[in-house]
Formats: sequence, structure tokens, C-alpha cells
Amino acid sequence: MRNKAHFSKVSAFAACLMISALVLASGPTPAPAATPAPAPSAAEPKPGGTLRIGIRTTPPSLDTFVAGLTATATYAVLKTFNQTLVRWDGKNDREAVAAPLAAKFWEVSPDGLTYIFHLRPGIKWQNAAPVMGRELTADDFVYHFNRLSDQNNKHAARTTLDMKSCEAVDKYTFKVTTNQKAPGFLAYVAGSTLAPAPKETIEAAGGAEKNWSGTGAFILVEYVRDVKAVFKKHPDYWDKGKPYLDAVEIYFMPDPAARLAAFRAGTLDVLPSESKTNRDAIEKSVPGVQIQDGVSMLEAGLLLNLKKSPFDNKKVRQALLYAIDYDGLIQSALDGGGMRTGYLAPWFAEWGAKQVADLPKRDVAKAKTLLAEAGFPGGFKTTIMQNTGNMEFAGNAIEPVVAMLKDVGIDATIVQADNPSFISKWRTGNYDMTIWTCFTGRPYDPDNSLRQQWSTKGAGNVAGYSNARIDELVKAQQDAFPDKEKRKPFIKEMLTILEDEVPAVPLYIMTNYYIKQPWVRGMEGIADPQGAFGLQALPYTWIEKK
Amino acid sequence: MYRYIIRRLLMMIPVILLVAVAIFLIVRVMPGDIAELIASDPRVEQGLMEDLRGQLGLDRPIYVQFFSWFGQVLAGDLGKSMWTGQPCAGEIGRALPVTFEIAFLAIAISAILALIVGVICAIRQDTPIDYFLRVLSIICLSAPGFWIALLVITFGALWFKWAPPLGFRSPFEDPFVNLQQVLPAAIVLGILLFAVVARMLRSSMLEVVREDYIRTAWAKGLGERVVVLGHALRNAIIPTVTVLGNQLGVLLGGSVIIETIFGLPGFGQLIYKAISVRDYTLIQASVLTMAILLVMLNLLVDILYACLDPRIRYE
Repeated sequence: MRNKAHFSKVSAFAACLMISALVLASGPTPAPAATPAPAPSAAEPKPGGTLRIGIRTTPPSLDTFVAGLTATATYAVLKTFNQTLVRWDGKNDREAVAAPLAAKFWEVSPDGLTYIFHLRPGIKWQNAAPVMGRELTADDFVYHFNRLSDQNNKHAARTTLDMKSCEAVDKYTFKVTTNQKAPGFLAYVAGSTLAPAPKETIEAAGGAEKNWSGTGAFILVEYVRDVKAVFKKHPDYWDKGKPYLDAVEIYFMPDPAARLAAFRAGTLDVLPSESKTNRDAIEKSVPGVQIQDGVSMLEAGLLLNLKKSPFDNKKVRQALLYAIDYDGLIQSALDGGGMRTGYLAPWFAEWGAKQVADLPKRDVAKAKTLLAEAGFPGGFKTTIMQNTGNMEFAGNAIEPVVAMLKDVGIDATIVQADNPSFISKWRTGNYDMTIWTCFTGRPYDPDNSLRQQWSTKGAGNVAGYSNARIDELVKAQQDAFPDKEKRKPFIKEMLTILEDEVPAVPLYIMTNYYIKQPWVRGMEGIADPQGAFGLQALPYTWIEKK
Repeated sequence: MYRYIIRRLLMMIPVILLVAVAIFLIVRVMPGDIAELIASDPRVEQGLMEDLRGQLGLDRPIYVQFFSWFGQVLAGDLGKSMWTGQPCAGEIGRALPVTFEIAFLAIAISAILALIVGVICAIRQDTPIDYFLRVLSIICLSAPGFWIALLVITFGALWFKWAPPLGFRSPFEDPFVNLQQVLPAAIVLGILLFAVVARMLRSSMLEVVREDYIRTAWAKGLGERVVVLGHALRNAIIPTVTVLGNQLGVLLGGSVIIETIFGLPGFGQLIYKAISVRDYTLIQASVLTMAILLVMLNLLVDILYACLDPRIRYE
């Protein structure tokens, strides 16, 4: 061919074009190796700046009436522009207590059924339609609580709130009467579901989905579904001098690689909830990064279909307790980012919760003996359902568990199901075993977990467990509220029964890692009840230097 | 030609009807429905789920549900998302342009790469450069797209402290930021796709350069550029157009993993999320929209064929 040199030049030019395009797409030229983080400063908070947060899920709706209690991303957004009556406080999330927020103080009636909340006067709604900056009053909470308790509410808030009535006493005072004593009531009140959406907002065109009314430190100014939520400082925030930040941006980023890349590149400042794997990757690559581990509200258990053989046999269930290598499971499924738990999380020690050292350990011989006593000397075949929509929390644990069960003679075949199929099969009882959230380590009070998970009508009783004595004990400890010492024996007896009956096998509580850039200050990670770490501390957060 | 186009457009009607029936039935065969998912929190009372089904119209006979939905579609209303309550047309209108942008850029990149590689491989057949480029094509064909995307995003951050700008911006809001967000994804997809086109083009070119009219062109003393680009490529590119059209169709269907990794709220993510929550209305609207787009795309490819090759006449 003629002009070989010419074609070579053309090829080289084309190659240069592509390289140039890649460089253009790459943005700035390569940076030198990471510089050391600035030294921690004891200086006064510095006003100004924008904080960028990356979270893994995206809100299905900004109206808690629609989104329900399970939408963590909705909480993250709501917590930023709205505020609840109380918030969590304490040196860590295992010892959190309720502290005043919109409520200046509260009273609990001697019978434990009535809560009277006294609001701080002068709290202003954000100055935007339709509330136009008016004052927050008791009527706003009364409207919101009654709306959530409406018979037409299909979502969990109604049953969790379990409210008999809610009425205003005066402009800044209202009282809530519950149907039964709820020792953990304030834990629910701290949840963002109970941050009020005022009547004008609900009745305006588009409702709470399109009208974002809050009394929080930041005003929601832009919301792009599946992309971001942008907030700016609320100039009339009741806590004068705060917030320090000018703006907050929350980005919805389901892919962990994308979140890590953005954090490494410095375009994200906070990752409020990451796994151990991501935590380790960031620690190696971002000098000076601040990492705090916190307890997630995600507690996994081996859920058994108690209505189906052989899991209706107590000996079989007890055998499963000794079949699992729990530490090995935490290592393989969570990369070590988890902790063991019993039927009550270990920090409820004063209530009789077993400490990690006292929890059952793997004992293959004992498991086989129990199976033989149950009439299955050679083990048995069964299936275990894997939720492919929830691999990080539960799905990844399935294969290690199957291998462990095989050692004791239980041959479990994995049946995969995406989230809706999983829910459908669980609801219709069309499963043998699975791993799911069976427990809750929610702090504050053991009633939150024990009553919800194990009483027959418990709203969180996914195992479908029913025991008359447990129901009696649940009632007895509720009736004894607020006398802690009177409640303790009932709780301890409940735990003894559960540890004998083994309605489900407690596996682990997943640890969530709360990761901040070196320049982020003041954002202590107290666990929000819904696990959105640190977001309630946004009013006190500032940026040292970027 | 016009009669052909009209005939093709009329043929679209039974295709769309079949697609509508098929997708309507398929989503309902999948286990689980949106009511179960909304009420999946065990704290929700069981009986309320049935009320929810009633509100969403899921308790009606299946044929009633179909005719009600399809009647709405014929009236120009794609319905409302069962999960968010927002109009499906709005959701699709928001997501589709993002995917269009990625797809067209990816096709452009894959076409340019394929053109260069295909032509070079053909005119330098059985030389080291031909072998090298063919091996490179195989590697690009074999590598999983998500893996390449993860490498780009991970090492971009580790080595260059670079990540795509946060928060998708449309090209009308901020074209430079938009380019930084979309181009990496388009390059990854382009690299994955070019191999197929390059190999097709190489094959076609090798056939064409052996034709008599090419020999005649050389004999006339025409330059290499004129012979290769003006005569050979023009004929060899016709089958490539079909492949590019197919690729565009695949890309428009959405590259959900690439979109997720690069944080692009495109059509793939929309459909994936709709399936994840069994949002029947949105799934149906999305698939129907895609079916119409693909039929139109096929028609455009056929018309382009006729433009490129005057010998092709549609009656």
C-alpha cells in the first residue's frame, strides 16, 4: 500500500484524540500523593461551608405517611430539615438517652400511659410556603400524631405509636395517651417519623412530597429524586448561633464503589453508614480520616418456619444454636464488622442480657446429639431462602451458614429470591429457613425489642412465635413500668424462656461505620434510632478547613 | 419508500399490543406485589394490605386491570407510579434523556474506535498491528463492563483523586459538568461495544477490498485514502450500521450497572428500581416506551440503509 507513513500518522493522531478525551474526562491533572490531614483543632466552631453526605439508599417519598418506618433515606432527609420532640444523647449509641429538642421537657403520668410534652416557645417553621415562617405550636404535633394514627394509615407508624388520643393542652403543650404502657415510647418519639408535617403542608397541592416544611436547622431547597437533596441554613433556627454550616447536600448513591471514590476524591465529606470492608478500604487510602463504629439497628437472626417440620421441634432449634460458628460467620459475612448478640443486645446487661462470652458457642457434637434426640440422627434436608436484595446485611451470611449446617448433617439448599419474592414467601409461610432481621438492639429500653419481636401480637414478630407465658411477662413488665427493679425479674424470665425455646437463632448485630473527612468537626455519631448516624448533630457541625 | 414507512408504522400496532399484553402478564406472574412490599414491615397489620391492594386496583379481575390500564395508555396517559405516586411519563421523561445521552456518546465512541481499528486491521491484514488490535478487541469484548467501570472509578479516585461530579446535571444546566459525569460511562460502554463493530467492519472490508471495482480503482491510480475511505469503506460500512443500530437499542434499554456505578439516574436504573418494588404501572409504561423506541429505531436503521446504498429500494 502506498502512504504507509500517512496512515501511521492518522492512527497516531486518532490515538492522541482518544487519550485527550480520556484526559478531558479525567478532569484535573493527577494530584500528588495524599497530604497529611490537618491536626485536630480545639478552636471555636467556624461558620460557613457546605457539608456533603453520601447515603446508600434513596427515599421512596418525603411523606412518612407514604414512606413508612423502613425508609432510612427518608429519615436522613427528614432529620436534616425537620426536628422531633426529643433526640438521642450520650457518649455512644449503646448508652443513648432521650434529650430535649423541640420539647423543652416532658412529664410521664404515674400510670405510664400519658406523656405531656412542653414545647420550646419561639420555634419557627421555615419561611416558605405554605407555613410562611409561623411559630410551631402544640396543634402541629397533635395534627401529625393523629394523622399517623389514622385507621387508614397502612404503615407501621400507626401500630408502633399505639396511640389512644392526642390533644393540645395549650399553645405549647400537648398530651399523648397510649393504649398500653410503652417503656420505650420516647425511642419512637425520637424517630423522624414523628417530626411533624403541618396541616397546611399536607393539604397543599402535592402534600409533603412537594412542600417541605420543617423546623430544623436546615431548609430543604432542592430535591431531585434518586440524585440529591440540597439544604441551606435556616436563619430563624431556635438555637441561636447555629447551624454553623451554610449548606448541606445529601447525595443518594447506592453503589459503594461510587461512594468510596467520591470520599477518596474529597467530594464527599461524610459517609454515615458503611460496612467494615468499605471502612478498611478508606482507612488505608485517606490519611487522617475519622472513623467511628456504631451499632446498626440491623440485627440478623436465623429465622425458622415454626409452623413447619422439623422446626416446630424445640430440640432441632436448640441444635441449630450449637451448629453455628458465630465468630467465623461475622468474619466471613461481614468481614469482621459485627458483634454477637443474644435475645437482648449485650448492653442490656442489667436486664439480664447475656454477655458475648456467655453466649452459646459452636459445638458440633452437642448439635448432633440434640438432632438425634429430636429424631433426626442423620440430620435432614431443608431449604434456606436468600434475599438477593439484601446481600450486604443478610444474603452474604447464607453460604457460610449452609456450610456450617452441613457439618451437623443438615443439608440446606439455597433458594434465591429478590426482595418482593422474599417478602411474599415469608408472608405466606412458603419457606423453611432464612436470615432476616429478627431482633432489635435498639437502645433505650428492652421493651422495644422484646415486646415487638416475641409477644404473639408483637408488631415485629417475623418468626410468628407465640408463647402464652411470654405474653404474660410482656404485660407484667409493661404494667410494672416505670419501676425498673420490678420489671427486671419479668424480663429475665422472658430471656430464660427464649433461650430455651430458641424461636430463632440470634446471629449478629452488624456494625455500621461512620466516616468523616479530617476537616469535619462536631458531628459526633450518636446513633439515630433509624441508624442515620450523626445527622442529628448537623446543627453543631462545622468544617475546619478544606 | 413512503408506502414502506407507513406500512412499517402500521405494523407497529400489533407489536405494541403484543408487548403490552406480554409485559402485563409477566409482571403479575412474578412473586410478590407492591402491596406486600409496602406492607412488608411486619408491624403493619395484615388486614391493611388488602385495603392497599384495593386502593391500587390490584383486587380487580386481571382482564379489568389490563383494559383499564391499556385504555389509559391509548388516551395518552401512562398512569402513575404505584410506589411514588408520581406520573410515569414524568419519571420516564426524566430518566430517558440521560440514557439517550450516554447511549449516543457510547455509540459515537464505539463507532470511531471501530472505524479506526476495523480499517487498520483490514488494510494491514495478518501483520503484527492486525494481531494486536484483534487481541485488544477480544479483551474488550470479554471484559465485564461493570469491572471496567469499577476500575475506572476506583483507580480514578486512588491515583488521581478524581471522581465524577456529584449530583447529575443536564447538559442544559451545566454542559461541562454534564460531560464529566456522562463521558466516563460512555467511554466504558464504547470500549465494550467497539469490538463487535470492529470485527464486523474488518470482515466486511476484507470482502470489499477483494472486489473488482477496488482493483479497478487502484489500477486507475487513485490514492490510498480515496480507495479505502471513498470506495471500500462506503460499501463495507452498511452491515455495520445494523450492528450499531442493535447496540443503540441495547444501550437504550439501559445499562443499569454502569448507571449505578457512575451515579447517573438513567432509564436502566428506573426500570430496575421499578422491578425491585413491583411497580407494575411504571414497569409497563417503561417497557412499552422502550418497545416503541426500538421499533422506531429499527425503522430509522432501515431508512439509513437505503440512504447509504442507492441499490436498496423499499416497496
